[in-house]
Amino acid sequence: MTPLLDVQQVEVAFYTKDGVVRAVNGISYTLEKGDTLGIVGESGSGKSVSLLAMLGLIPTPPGKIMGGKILYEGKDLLQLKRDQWSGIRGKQIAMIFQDPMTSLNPVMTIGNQIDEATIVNLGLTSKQARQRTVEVLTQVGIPRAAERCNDFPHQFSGGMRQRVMIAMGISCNPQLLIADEPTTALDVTIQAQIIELVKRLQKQMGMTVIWVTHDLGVVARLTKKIIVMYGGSIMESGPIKPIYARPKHPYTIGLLASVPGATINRSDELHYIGGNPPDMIRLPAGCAFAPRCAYQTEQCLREKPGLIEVGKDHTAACWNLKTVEQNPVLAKSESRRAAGSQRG
Amino acid sequence: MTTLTQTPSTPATTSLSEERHYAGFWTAAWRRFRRNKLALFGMVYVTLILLVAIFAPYITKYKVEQIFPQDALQGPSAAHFFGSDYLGRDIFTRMVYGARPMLIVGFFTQIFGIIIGTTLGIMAGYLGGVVDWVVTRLVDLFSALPWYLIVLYLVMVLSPSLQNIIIALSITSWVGSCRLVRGLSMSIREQEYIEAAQALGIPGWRVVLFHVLPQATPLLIWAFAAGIPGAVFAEASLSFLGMGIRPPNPSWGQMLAEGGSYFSYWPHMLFFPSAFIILSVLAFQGLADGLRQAVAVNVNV
Repeated sequence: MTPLLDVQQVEVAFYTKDGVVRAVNGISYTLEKGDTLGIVGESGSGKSVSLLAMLGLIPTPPGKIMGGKILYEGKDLLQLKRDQWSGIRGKQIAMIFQDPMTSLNPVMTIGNQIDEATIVNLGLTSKQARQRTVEVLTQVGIPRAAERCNDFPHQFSGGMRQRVMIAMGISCNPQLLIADEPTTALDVTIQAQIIELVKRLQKQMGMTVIWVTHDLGVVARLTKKIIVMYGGSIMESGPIKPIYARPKHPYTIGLLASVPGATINRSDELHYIGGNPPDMIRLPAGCAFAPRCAYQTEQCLREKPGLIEVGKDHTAACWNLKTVEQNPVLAKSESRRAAGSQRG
Repeated sequence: MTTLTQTPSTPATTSLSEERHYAGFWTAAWRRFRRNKLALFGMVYVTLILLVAIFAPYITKYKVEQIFPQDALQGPSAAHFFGSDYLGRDIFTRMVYGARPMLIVGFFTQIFGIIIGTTLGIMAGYLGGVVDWVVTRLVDLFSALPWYLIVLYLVMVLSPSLQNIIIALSITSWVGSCRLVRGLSMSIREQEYIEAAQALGIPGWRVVLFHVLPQATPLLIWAFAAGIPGAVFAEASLSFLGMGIRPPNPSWGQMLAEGGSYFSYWPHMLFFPSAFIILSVLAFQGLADGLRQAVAVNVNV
């Protein structure tokens, strides 16, 4: 059976005044229908750009898709012409954006905004559309949905707006829901509600979900499979349990070690990965993480490592997996030293 | 802890069940508008002038072309409120009818100007690229050339008439609103909710019509009102130069020109047209200013 989504070697670059920003450098993954995928990475690691490419929303120019394929039900989305998107966006693939404060039009009632999607994509009349809108708003837990349709976004709280955004996303029954850091702008209690909401909707509607975040705790609650991105490339990917229990890639090890636990003591030093995120214009020729890596060798700087199978469905892109395996502590302690030496 | 649990919970529940009332955009706009005295004067004056122009035949008992040779060059009196001119025509009547071309020119040039300006501006701002380049050059061209000379030349070529004044003024009056709308739609295009709408599959024309254009409305209302004094003045000055409304049809500018040659002995012929031209320009300006304050988009949204 062909997977719902098959991403193959996608490369996206932006041509700016200062140079070519290589935002996404050959990422590949597949996603089965009904699955949930988590994409983790720090800001600027290419998470969002790779997803915008999936909806044909990369602004060209300055953006350019350098290569690769995104097969959605066997159809390459990157080859679609401008007018061929209409059946895909909203109807097949929907996206929830990061900031619910800015992702809703401030001068349009939320009812009208959600109506618009179903009128355009499903060809409903405005009366049917409003009915559907009330239905989805109720589904995402907005009380008195019919009345609140006439309210403007500024009359909603942040969490409620994110619910509205989700309602908008699911209004046309999409197969694939892309959530681009939808909980980042919310506080923790609301985050939990939103996560539970998406989980419930996914089960009810049989949606496939891609959840992008830089919050490792969020993915753990949501997904079975994750992809760790850094510098526009996939560092490690696989089922969530083995990755959280025994991360193979030095970056993943460092990242997981950097999550502060609730039981942390006041005197404990917080862990961090030394150095700075890569300059996407001047990416290293080899592994993007090499300059910050404690296991760095000459080969790392010269050649880009491919994904190597390290377990069932579990891959990591690193030349020194054996060394890392033998001495995983180095990734946690040495990275700090590396930062010190870089500063000096 | 005990004090916390003892706090009565009734206030919270009542405030929730209470019907909340939000001042809508237009209510708030009217509240701001009302505070501006000049704007209020402008609104009253404009309303009056509109009524006078529409009901002109009921306001004055004379006809525009009616001549009273025995009454020529008389000052204001009960028979002729504003006096009479060198042919013995009633100046009040001619002023009342003269308001018509002024208002017609003012409104129509602004409507046409805004339609052209908004269309070009939205296309330039939203589409960007080559379209933007072409429109911007066009705007530059029209801003660089003295618009009054273009209008004068066009009216001369097309032959002076009400219709041709409107055409000539419309061709030059779109620049301001075009620049405004272009700037606005450029900034709206970069907003996240536009990207969100695109991601939902909303086609470009719908985005422009339902997301960009409504936000330009307050600006356009202001631009409309702000452009009228210019058009009023342009009509008056064209008629003054003999390039506008032709006699025997009255126009304030034309009457001003006639009054100019008689003014050392009969100043009333000059006084009434000039006073009303000044008042009208001032009133429209005040109205526009009040509207700009009232619909300031950044307040209370």
